[in-house]
Amino acid sequence: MFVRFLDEIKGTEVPELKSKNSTEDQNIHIPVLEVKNVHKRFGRLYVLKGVDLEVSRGEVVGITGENGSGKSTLLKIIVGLLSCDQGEVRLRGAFGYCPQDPLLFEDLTMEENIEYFSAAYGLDRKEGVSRGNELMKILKCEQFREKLTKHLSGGTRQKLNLIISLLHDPDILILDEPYQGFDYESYLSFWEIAEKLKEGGKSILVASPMMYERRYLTKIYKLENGRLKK
Amino acid sequence: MNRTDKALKIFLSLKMQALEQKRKFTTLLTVFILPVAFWASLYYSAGEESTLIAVPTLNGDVQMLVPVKKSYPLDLGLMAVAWAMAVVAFFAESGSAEKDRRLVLCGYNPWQILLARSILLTGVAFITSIIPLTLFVPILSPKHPWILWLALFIVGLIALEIGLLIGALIPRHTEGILMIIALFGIGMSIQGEAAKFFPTYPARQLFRTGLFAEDPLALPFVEEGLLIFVILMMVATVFWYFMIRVHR
Repeated sequence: MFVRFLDEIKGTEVPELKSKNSTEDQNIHIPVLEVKNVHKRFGRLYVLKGVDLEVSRGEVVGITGENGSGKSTLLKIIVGLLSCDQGEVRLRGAFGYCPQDPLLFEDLTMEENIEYFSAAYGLDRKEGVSRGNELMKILKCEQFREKLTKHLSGGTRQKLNLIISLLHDPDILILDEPYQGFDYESYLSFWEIAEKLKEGGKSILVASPMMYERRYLTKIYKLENGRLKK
Repeated sequence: MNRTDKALKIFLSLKMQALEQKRKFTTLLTVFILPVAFWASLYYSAGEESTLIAVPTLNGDVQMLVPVKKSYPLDLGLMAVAWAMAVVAFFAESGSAEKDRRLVLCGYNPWQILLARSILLTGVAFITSIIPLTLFVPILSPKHPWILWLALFIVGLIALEIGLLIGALIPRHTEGILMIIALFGIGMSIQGEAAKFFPTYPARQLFRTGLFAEDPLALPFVEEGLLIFVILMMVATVFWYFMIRVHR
């Protein structure tokens, strides 16, 4: 079960908080993501004008901002889909990326997409399928496993998009509007997963123009005029 | 990761890409049927007049008087195969560029995806060369059917690289397909000295020699055709790699 998978994460990865001076306590504050003074422009349009960001282990960090404010650009620079004009990005450990537009193979089924991306992560077939099944169950979409992706609804495609980013148990999840098109139940499931991953010492960076569930977030930033503001 | 894992990744990519192509069966069938129907309508509506064409032989080019309808496959037949292969390769590349990038981001090596695609498309080129041969051999009675097959296979290989190159340079479907139509439209109509500069020229010469020559001249055209294929493959690979690279 996925819960067990999450419990495993919890059991193995989260150091218990002991004292302020303990090594484990220091480890927890080691940033898994560091973004320093990142600039990006497209032609004459300056999208990012010196963005600084740090995400430590066990943190859920939200980035909000208007449409076109540069949230997706920042996330693409972090994962390496775009280069930055200036600045530095440091990612420690494995990351999972959930793009805003689900980049899925339309003529493959949900199951086949999962198998394909599992192989990309280096998981063996059995392991990938088992994790995919657990995640499909949690997100309530296992009945569509044999359906071609092009025939799935927008919300289910987005669930598959999210499942793919979670398959390999990443240290940090980078999510670009991960719950658009979700029904309310799935939306709540998403935040439950986020909460469990957080408890397991995993980090999450989530960008969305709408950030209602602030109680789950450790930090929240607003991207405005190319800069992040708390 | 050991060698077996790498091989498994390539195999899985090959399997998934083949599944995708299989599920586009109707589109692909249309792509293949259109030029065959075009050629058949021309063949059966042609009169009994003859035309003079230059046929490469071991003793140099020989001018031969051949029935017009037998000369149609020289350009149209070859271009039909080239068009079909280029379109298949174009769709395989342009439709999956962003998804390939995601696979690379997740851990696939770009070369693994490319190798799988090349194996798949070479297999399609092989099948594509066999299908028209089953029409050409009984209808045209070529002197050397195996040279005809070589011409069709080589033109398929060259065209698949052209399709991949266009897919990397112009990934939008409408513009890309229009570019392929324009390119092979030129290929069908180009004649004389100018034809020598068209990439499918060696295949065309092979086709002529295989169809009409008693003492065919094949080897130089096979070498030239394979050289063009390799050069186009290198250029297409560079552009594709540039398109899907990640900045890390």
